[in-house]
Amino acid sequence: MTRINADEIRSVIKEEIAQYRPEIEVAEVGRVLEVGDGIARVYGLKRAMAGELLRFKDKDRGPAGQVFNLEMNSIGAVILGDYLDIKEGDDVFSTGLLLSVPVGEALIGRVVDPLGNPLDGKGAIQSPHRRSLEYKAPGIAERQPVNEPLQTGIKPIDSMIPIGRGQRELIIGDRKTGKTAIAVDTIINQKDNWGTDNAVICVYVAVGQKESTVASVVEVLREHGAMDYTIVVEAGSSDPAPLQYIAPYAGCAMAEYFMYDEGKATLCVYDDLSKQAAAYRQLSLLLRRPPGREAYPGDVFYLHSRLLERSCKLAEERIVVAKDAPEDTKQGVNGKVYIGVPGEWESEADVKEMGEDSHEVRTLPGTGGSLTALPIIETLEGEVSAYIPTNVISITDGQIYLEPDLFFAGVRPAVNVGISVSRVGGKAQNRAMFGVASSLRLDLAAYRELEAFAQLGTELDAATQAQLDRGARMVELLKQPQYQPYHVVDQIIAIFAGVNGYLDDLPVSRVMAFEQALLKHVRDEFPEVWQELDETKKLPPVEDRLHEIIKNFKPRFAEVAEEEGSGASS
Amino acid sequence: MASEQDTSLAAADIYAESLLELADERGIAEELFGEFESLVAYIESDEGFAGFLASSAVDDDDRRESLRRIFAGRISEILLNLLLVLNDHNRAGIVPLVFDRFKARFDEQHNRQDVYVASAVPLDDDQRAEIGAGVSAAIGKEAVLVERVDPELLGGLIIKVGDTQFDGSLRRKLARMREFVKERGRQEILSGKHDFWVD
Repeated sequence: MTRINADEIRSVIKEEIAQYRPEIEVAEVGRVLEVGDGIARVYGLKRAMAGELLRFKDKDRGPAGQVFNLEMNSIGAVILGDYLDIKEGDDVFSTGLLLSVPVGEALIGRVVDPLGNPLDGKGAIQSPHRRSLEYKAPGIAERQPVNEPLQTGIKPIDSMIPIGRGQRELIIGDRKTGKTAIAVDTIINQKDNWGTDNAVICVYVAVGQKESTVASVVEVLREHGAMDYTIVVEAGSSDPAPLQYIAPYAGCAMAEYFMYDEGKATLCVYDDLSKQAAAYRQLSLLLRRPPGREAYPGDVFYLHSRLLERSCKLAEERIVVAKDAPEDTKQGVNGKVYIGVPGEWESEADVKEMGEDSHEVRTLPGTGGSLTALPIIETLEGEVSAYIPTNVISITDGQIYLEPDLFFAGVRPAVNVGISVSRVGGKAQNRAMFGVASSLRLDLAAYRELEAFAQLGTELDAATQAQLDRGARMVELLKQPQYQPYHVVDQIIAIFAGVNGYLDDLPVSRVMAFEQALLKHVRDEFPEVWQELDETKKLPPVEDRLHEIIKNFKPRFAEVAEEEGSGASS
Repeated sequence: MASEQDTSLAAADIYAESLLELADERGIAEELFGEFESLVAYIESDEGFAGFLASSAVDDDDRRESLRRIFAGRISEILLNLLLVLNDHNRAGIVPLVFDRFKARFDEQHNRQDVYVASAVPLDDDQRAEIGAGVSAAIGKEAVLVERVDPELLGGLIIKVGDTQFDGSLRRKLARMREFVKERGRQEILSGKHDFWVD
């Protein structure tokens, strides 16, 4: 039977005590003048700096606070945590530090609060790395244009509003239109990438939401295996406003670690920034900052811009090495480091010069990371020209509009593709998808123009009717169930079938079934075509074969349909 | 954005400055200090009177008459005038703040500084003298010790000068030692150099 070796433990402790050197501790200390509602007014601490971390009552373990206002004779501080313990007259220690959170591998799969404390009951977070909550966004030289797709697995988005790695794409809509669903599906869709070079680490920041809602989101992520690569940062609606205010920055810092230190692709979902703005408004008003439009403080734009500017695609750094050079070579044969997109062309040219059989280009590990942001904003009654929505729209690289009318008409995801836009667009889209998507866009645009006529029920000429029919089928094709993201190749095949008219003779109600059956058919019986499309990302080579496959499949589908039909009636 | 407290403090500072100047002209600053100190101590002890001074529900004229009746002949003329002038400007409530600023300027003038000393047991005269001398030498001003006894310190002293606190209490040393041993112990365990289990 094993038992603890008390002597060994005793000797270790004895050694530590002997080594301990007691010192007089010097600290800057102030006094609480007023406290309440998550804020405190502090007297003293004349050398405190704006944004500095403070500690109330106990220098090491007391509740944390942050210096918000520096005034003539006092400091306005926000309390990060429970302020109910703090009383007037309590000591306030300045730390000389900026607010920081633990970051690193230890956070993956965990649910934490914005200070890094665990909320999932799975034990303390032990991480040797910490990152400051505020961080200066990289300048122009450190970035490169976004050129890789972030696949959301959602058909209308990946085809017509494609998102690239390093882009900021806003998800905006009224309540209950499926904003969170889009973000969750995007996270789930990264499952296939996990474990490969293409892996995306996801951070889901829940600000001001019901704890029950967040718990169910975490559960969904867990069920789909997404927690293997996701961090959840939560500041619920009953958490103090200061925590709701810093939560998105904490999430961003955690993602930034993977981007800067490990060169990985990351995704950060801020759900939602409207609530963060409201929390910031609460803090600012309590600390008597002058209210502006809609009572928001004057720097509410800066609140969001400095958060979203930290999303970027970092420049990849490349070197030219001999083909058999060891994996971890960090120096190129000519000592040159090629940076960004021009670097990519230059390095390829240099390799040609040196001989493509003997040399190759390698990307330095730890470079070229990205942080894609999916901020979410809730509008009231579709009012996108309100203060906060317009602010965030002007910051992001595109918006996805979700409309309640579409939602209730059964179009889910309720994306209005007419007014949604991605400013990065095709530059970061899978090339094959780019090919089919342009036709899709045209079909839907024509359909929208004619939609009014469809309602009239009048006799229409053949061409107009054809456009309406095509459009209706494409809209049907773009619907998909929640938590079932589509692989980009499946999306390409489905849209290919649609834009080439193979759905035109099907009843609209059969489109979904046809799509499911077709995709299954291709995967089961033509896996090599599927693979080729996946690996080459080019449509032309497989185009003819796809036409063949679908043409041959259609009669089979019709047969099965008939059987089912007759089976039902007999 | 200045808080209410800040604007009051700014006003109090102006009154304090004028008061001190006047007292210096008449050479009565030291006595005034003592008198002002006890007046404020009284205000802080008597909630009713403090409320009476600060409340806007009391008519200024009534308050003026009351102050005259209460204090004439009991406090020096200059101090009474201060109260009346404050009252005329509807600022009777900031008397304690005026004293704070008056004291700050007075101490500055006399090169004095309040030094807060907390100990586990009351200091005896020798200790007091030693601490006073030591701190005075360190800060280059005359240290005026404000003492506090807190048995929870277990031993040692906490000395606070301005914003800076020097914590040499036994309680703090023990707490830090505990953290130190915990952390070092954890590192030792994780290092795997020891065998904590026996069969």
